[in-house]
Amino acid sequence: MNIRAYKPLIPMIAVYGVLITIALTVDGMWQPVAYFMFYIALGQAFNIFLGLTGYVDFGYVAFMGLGAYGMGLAIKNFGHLGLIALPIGIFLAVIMSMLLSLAVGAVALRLRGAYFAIATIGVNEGFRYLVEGVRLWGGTEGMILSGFMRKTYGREMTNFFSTFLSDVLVILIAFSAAVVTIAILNKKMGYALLALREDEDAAKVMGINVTKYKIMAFITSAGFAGLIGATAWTLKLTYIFPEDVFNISYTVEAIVIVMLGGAGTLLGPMFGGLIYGIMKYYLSVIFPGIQLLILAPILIAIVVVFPEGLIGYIRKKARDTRLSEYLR
Amino acid sequence: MVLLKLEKVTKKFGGIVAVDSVDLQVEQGEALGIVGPNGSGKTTLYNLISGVYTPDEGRIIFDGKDITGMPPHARTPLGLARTFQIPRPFGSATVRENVAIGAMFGRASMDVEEALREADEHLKLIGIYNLRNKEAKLLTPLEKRFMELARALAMKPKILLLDEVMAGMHPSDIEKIIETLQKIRKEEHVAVVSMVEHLMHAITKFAERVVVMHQGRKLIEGETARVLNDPRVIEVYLGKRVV
Repeated sequence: MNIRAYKPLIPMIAVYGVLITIALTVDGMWQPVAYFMFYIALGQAFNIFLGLTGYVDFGYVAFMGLGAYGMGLAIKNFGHLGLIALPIGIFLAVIMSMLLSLAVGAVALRLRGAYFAIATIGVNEGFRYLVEGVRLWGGTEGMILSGFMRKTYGREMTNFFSTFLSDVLVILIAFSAAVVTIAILNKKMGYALLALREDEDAAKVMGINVTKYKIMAFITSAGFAGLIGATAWTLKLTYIFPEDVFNISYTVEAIVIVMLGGAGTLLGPMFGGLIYGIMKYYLSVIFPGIQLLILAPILIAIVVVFPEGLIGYIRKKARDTRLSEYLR
Repeated sequence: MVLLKLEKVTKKFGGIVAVDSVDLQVEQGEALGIVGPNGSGKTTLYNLISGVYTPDEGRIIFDGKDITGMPPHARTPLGLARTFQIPRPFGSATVRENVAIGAMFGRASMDVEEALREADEHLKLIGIYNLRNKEAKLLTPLEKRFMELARALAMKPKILLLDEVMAGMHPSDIEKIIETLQKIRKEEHVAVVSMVEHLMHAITKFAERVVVMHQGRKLIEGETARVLNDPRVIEVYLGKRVV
């Protein structure tokens, strides 16, 4: 393993360090930072698929939703065993989202471009109507776990889960997704994905099994989405409603974050998520109600000025300088 | 030893027979030229060999293996490499990365570090080492063609299929490329198939044997000088004598 190829993690660790320090030392900053970290994690996880393959999955939130249900089912069914329910929930979340992505990917990843995007919208909506229609996992009434959790784990422990542990786990998930991203970028897989993103037919002729690599990226990305759903939603909010967890707006936010920071880069999702999270949070404080009206033109302006995303742009400027070793 | 063998290969697109029952053999280490006017089925033939299309009829045997129905990514590691008539670089990757991708996924099947080192060697060999950190999409069409050649060579193929690779090159560059190709042919026994539409003088310098394609069929094949002076070949290119 080439340690030097992992240098771009240094600026990332620095930013995380600053954020965590602010969260722990400044009064009332823990929740805002956790809010930003959610968007960073979302961008970092989605980037593994969207950024590295260039395919747009409009049904991405389905994996988060499934992860949320995985954790919910674990707490409901294994809560009586104690804290072991949490690792079981994490495990279930990953397995369920990965299995769905394998099934979807094996079929839909044979489609290209817009056809793939449309097929994946169908998956998300279909899954939501399945849950609601056949009254799976509580149907439209969802899963409300707060009462059960308070009874099983006690009020304080439940509060600890939703105001601290879930946030810490989201930070860990975001960082793990970043480590996985740079590991992929440094391996053959990264080069295979780069080639297929640029010219899929030429990549095939060059000996690259494009379907295999696309599915690998898809499953990895979906697994992280499941983890985010399990922690940032179920553990933090202690309830799950299908119309919330299968809400396409999260997919759109994830796309915006990845494009903003730079698709296919390591650091892009972190800066994209941070910018997006900060703007959304403070605009809603300053201009409550019309925050999205102000946010949208700002986002459009950024994407117009930096079509390759912020990190994509900086990387280009820093090419052939020593800084480029730290940018990826 | 026969490396590549096409047996009665046919490919139709709707009512058009692009390649019509073609038999073709390429020996190990051979220098073969395929010539033919526009639309004669040359590129389709390449697409059939590299697996972009599967033939409607016939068989393709490579290195003793029937590869007729194999997907392209499975054929390439056996020792096939090709360039494209209109170069297809991986645009946002650097020139060095483009060539390294060849070394990673072709027959060479190297790991990342090794492939990047190998890429430098091939960039020097082809003479575009100074361009290595440039984004491939920023290259001129000619530079892209050099890059594709380096990328194909880095795959360490047993057969190299070149599609108009020398078109538009300066005669001194053509000289240099031919020299490089002859060298890898002799040293590594790579068969080189070069397809051209008009660059006859390059073909005469390079190929030992020539196949002439016309309307999807093999018109004639044989020793280069003899074939290119055949009245049928002249007719295909210039039409019948009218006066």
